[in-house]
Amino acid sequence: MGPKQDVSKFAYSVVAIVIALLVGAVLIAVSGYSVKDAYSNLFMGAFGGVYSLATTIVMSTPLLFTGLSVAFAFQCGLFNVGAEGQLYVGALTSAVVALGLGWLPPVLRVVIALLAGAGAGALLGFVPGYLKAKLGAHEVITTIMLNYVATFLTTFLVKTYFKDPGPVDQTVLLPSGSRLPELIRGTRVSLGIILGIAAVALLNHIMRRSVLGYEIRVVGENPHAAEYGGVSVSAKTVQAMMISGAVAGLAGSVEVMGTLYRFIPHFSPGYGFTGIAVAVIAGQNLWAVIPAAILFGALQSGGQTMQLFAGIPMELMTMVQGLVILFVAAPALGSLLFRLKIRAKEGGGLE
Amino acid sequence: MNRIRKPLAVFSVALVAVMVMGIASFSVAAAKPRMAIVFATGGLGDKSFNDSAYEGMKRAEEELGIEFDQAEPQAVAEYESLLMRFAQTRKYDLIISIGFDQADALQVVSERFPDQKFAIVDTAVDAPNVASYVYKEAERGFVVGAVAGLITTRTGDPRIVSDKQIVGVIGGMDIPLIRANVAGYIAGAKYVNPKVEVKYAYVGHWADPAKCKEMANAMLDEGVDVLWLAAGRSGLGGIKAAEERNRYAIGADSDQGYLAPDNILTNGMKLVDNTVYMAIEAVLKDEFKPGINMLGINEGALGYSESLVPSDIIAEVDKLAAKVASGELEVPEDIDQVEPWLKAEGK
Repeated sequence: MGPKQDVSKFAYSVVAIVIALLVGAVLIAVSGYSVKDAYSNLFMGAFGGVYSLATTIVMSTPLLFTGLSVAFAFQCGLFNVGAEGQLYVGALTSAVVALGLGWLPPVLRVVIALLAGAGAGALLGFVPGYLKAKLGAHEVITTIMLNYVATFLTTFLVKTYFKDPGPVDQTVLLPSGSRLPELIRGTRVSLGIILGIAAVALLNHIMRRSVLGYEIRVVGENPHAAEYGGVSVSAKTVQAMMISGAVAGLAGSVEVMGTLYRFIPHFSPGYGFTGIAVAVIAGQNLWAVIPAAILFGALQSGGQTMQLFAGIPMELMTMVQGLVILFVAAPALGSLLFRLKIRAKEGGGLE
Repeated sequence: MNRIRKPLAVFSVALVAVMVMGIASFSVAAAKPRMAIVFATGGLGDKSFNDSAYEGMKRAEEELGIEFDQAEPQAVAEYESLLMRFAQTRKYDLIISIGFDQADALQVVSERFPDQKFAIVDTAVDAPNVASYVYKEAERGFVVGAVAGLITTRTGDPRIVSDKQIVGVIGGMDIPLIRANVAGYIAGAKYVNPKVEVKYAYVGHWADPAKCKEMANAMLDEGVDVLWLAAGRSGLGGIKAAEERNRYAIGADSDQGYLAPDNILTNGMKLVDNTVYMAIEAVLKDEFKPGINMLGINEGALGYSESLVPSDIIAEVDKLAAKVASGELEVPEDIDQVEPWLKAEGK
């Protein structure tokens, strides 16, 4: 995709977001809430002040990884619905490794724990990749199912082997040397966001500049042609799923090591699934994962204050998010509305 | 491109307009006392813990003239930022955390805002500005256990399926807090009826009604007449099972009678509404007390509802409840202690 197309796609996305917010405004008004209160809180909660900005970044960080994970699999024509599960195994593995390696110097400890989280995610990504390559089992089904396996397996492992004594099922707190450094004091903004951007850059480089990336793209475009051209579709499928899983695993690692400082079962409010939305909005361009993740982080963060101070239920916020996906991902619907609107203005008949 | 540019301009202007309006209208705090509450992850509509806390807030709004804002987190990861956002405004007289899994987040936030008063219900946070309200869980287990132990002998009742005298309890998670409830339940049932057999199990999740229903059916298969669901939202599944097979269920935390009007025998009430109300009242009267506040039947924070309980059983259980409230009966909090305790009580 050329730069010119990227710009027009970006412009289109901005317009789609604005339409989504306007339709959302109608829904908010119909539900009996003040649109003004809602959107001023949404905006201030996402961007008004240091803490709001920090919260937006904190909430964008895991979405950056899960979004990248799903977007990367898209490039190979694979739909990884399993980011949520990969996130959980990555999170627990990092927590356990970070706790177990207390004797190592901090930097080494953090690096190894991150790699272990990525490794665990890759391993969980390998399973659906292999099943698809060898048995033709569709990755959507297998990854969805593995989400349950991963979520409950981690819960079980924490309860049985890694539980902090006390009423809550969770691991003990990571010592400060096992945590990702805090970038802004008093917030939970950690090195994770930088790692996320670096991961986008790295995967983008792999996709555009390496043989592996080229082969993965060819398989994504047309597996038959790829096979004919001597690229092993099954090998690329397994590799792409493993990379995708590794990145999703890192989402969990970064959340545990940079934000929560411990593993808590069911900690994720669906980062893996929101990652799908991020990837859909980003489309074919991996760099676009960054603004898309920040958009959803901002909606989450602003949604909090909308809930707290405008009294608007989180469900309405989730609906607005759904509208954003709908309008951005369904250009046909968007342009249909445009035409209706323009026709109405010109003809004066509809409004 | 042309097709897009015009609407783009229109909508950009609209967006800017909406945002400018929003920023210009930031509201000014009212003079009434203002409270904030962060619910547990089950959310409102759990017909139990959170709903009960909400009732307490509403009553304080009417009777004490407060205003309040609320937050419904979807996952544990959100607690801290929600508490932080409330605390940052510095306009709340009290910020209330509902549920034991908020302890971590509240620990952090309470340290960062030492002048802000906090209260947490159902667990203890050790900080000079946090009032922790915890329950003598075994006490309510004891009263509903006593009701169960007595009703299971009434074979004339169509919901009592056999004369085997088996009652059951399903807990949400195998944790000390729930185990204390189970211990109290066993103690209560056996205290009033030495012949009774008590079965118990744990779902392992607060919000898995399907699994709870499965476990409830297994217990009903074994001849359980009365089943207590101390399992948060999961309990809804167990209540359904009891209703479908026309046995007695006992609800938890708030009055769940409307879920199965002919089958909810009573409810093991955790009067979170009274607790929340108490916490607010304490702040308004300038009697805010940091540290652990233990609440039980005596404080009006635990109890049972009369619902379908026959009046003679109510009379008997009320006598027992009074003994518990006065401290004459000290209910064991551990399942292993129940038998020795019964022996010591001469049962």
